[in-house]
Amino acid sequence: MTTTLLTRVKSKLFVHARRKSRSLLEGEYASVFHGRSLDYDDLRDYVPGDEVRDIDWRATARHQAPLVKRYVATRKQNLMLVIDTGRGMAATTRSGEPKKSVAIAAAGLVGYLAQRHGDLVGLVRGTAATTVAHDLRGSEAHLELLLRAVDAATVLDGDQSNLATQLRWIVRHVRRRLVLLVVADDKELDPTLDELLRRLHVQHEILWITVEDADPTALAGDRMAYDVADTYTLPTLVRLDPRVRTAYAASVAERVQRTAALLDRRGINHARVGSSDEVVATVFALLERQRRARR
Amino acid sequence: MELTGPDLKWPGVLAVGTLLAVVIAYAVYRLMSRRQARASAAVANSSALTELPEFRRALRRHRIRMAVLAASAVLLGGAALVGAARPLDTTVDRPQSRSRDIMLCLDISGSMAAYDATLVSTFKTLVQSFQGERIGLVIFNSSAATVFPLTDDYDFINDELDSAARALTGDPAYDSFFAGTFNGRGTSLIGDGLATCVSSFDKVDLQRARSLVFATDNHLAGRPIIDVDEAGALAKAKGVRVYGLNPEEDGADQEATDMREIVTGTGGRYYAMSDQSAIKGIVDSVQAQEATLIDAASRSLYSDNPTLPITLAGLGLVGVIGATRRWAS
Repeated sequence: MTTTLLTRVKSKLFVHARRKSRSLLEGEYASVFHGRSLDYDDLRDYVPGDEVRDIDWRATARHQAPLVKRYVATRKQNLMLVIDTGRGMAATTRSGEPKKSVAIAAAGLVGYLAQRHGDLVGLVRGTAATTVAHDLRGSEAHLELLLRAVDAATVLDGDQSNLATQLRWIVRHVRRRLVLLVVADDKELDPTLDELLRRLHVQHEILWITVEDADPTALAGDRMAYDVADTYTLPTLVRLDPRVRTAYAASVAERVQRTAALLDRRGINHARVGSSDEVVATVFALLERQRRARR
Repeated sequence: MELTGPDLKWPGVLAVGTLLAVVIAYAVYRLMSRRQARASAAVANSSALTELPEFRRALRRHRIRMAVLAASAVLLGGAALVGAARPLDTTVDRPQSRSRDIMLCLDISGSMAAYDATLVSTFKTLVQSFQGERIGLVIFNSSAATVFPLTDDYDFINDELDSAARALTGDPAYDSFFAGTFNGRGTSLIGDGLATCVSSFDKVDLQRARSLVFATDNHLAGRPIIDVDEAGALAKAKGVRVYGLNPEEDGADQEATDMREIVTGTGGRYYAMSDQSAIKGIVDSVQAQEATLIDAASRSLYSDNPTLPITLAGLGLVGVIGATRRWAS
């Protein structure tokens, strides 16, 4: 068996750890999605990112380093990965990788952090036509299974993407409170989606990651760019036209701004990512913003 | 003259070239599509790009450019192929000469020797007055010989008359000119000469204007098979007008009077050689007769006509260069 998808996620994390310690990210996650009970268990060393209010100041005073309280029955969070597996996600992203690699890296990272934290991780994936839900479980093997399911379902000849189908499914079928990590295609958010988000945000906590599309006006001229939706080939000379490039860059910037404004209005933290190398930093920044927002 | 339109000297070039062009185009297409298939990038949501007005404008420009390029390339290749096949203009020339026949009949007997060179130059002057008429030359002494039969090749006629002039001025290199004129009994058999001349007209079934310029002094020396009167009757029977041209060495003698009678009996006229109006009179009189059409053998003329393919290929080249050029944008 080749390297598992989760191994790749972890290796990204370790590479990243040279700059920011891995435990920092774990602490970041823990402090964002802390679940507390009243039963105090023991103390452990403080790691940057831990909630300051978890520090046991008395114990710290007797000790050289800060100590953090741990509770017995930490309430488990339920992290639901909501991933678009339409054919649009099999297309190329900014770095040249398939978009699903970036989606898997991001979802895998957050899922891994959650699993390490002791949370349950589930998955809702699908296309415009179908939605598949996976159970919430806490094991690393289960997470690997979820990532594999996403990888296998996202193919170039699959169905078209429509995230509204998955969000509607959650609205209809999920009763309990979840943390939703939505990995979305790089599309305009239509009013239907906006309405669904309004609805979901009441019940759940939402993190939104958009996987960027490759810029067709920046793809090298020796490659043929075709749209996965209808296999239309973009004429190379036309897409490389400088005027077209300028206009496209302006229209993308506008759309990104519109999407950001919409998500901000709904109070949803969001990030754009176009390369699996940027996933760790992006997720870290996303969690950081989430923590601040909850204060 | 009729034009049967452009023809190709090597039509095979066109067929082979077209086949080759198709094969090469297909091979290039396969190669390019395979290369592109290897290096293609799937992108999503490209409608964000394709719906931009800038993109649509650029696409329209691109399509026009590609259409011009394709049309120009086809034009260039096609015109080059057609040019390589060497287009020919075929003209079928079916010359019809509306003409009359004129036989020049020259007495080269000793009594005429002093005048023959002058008579030949008179003939030359006479020939210059005609255009399209068929002219032949028969000389006679004791027997008649055809120098050249009826023809409308005036260069040839003039060449032959020049040789005749040189032979008659005594150039020894031209002795063979007189071959076949001493086979009769005696010299200067006028009747035999005239009869031979009258018989030298071809296409006897055809009703044509036939004229005979009969240059002699009518001084008989020997025993002819046919005498002059009989020959005159033959000419009349065959519808040949005889124009007499007499040097009149001794003035208007009995022979001259006889000759005038015979000549006028055929509908022709009689002139003394010194008569300045002789040539004009003969020419006018000949031309007054109705000309008859005769069909000559038709022949095809081929000439290379590369103007059109070269022009079209040039246009195609201009189009190809124009369409592939990177216009400042």
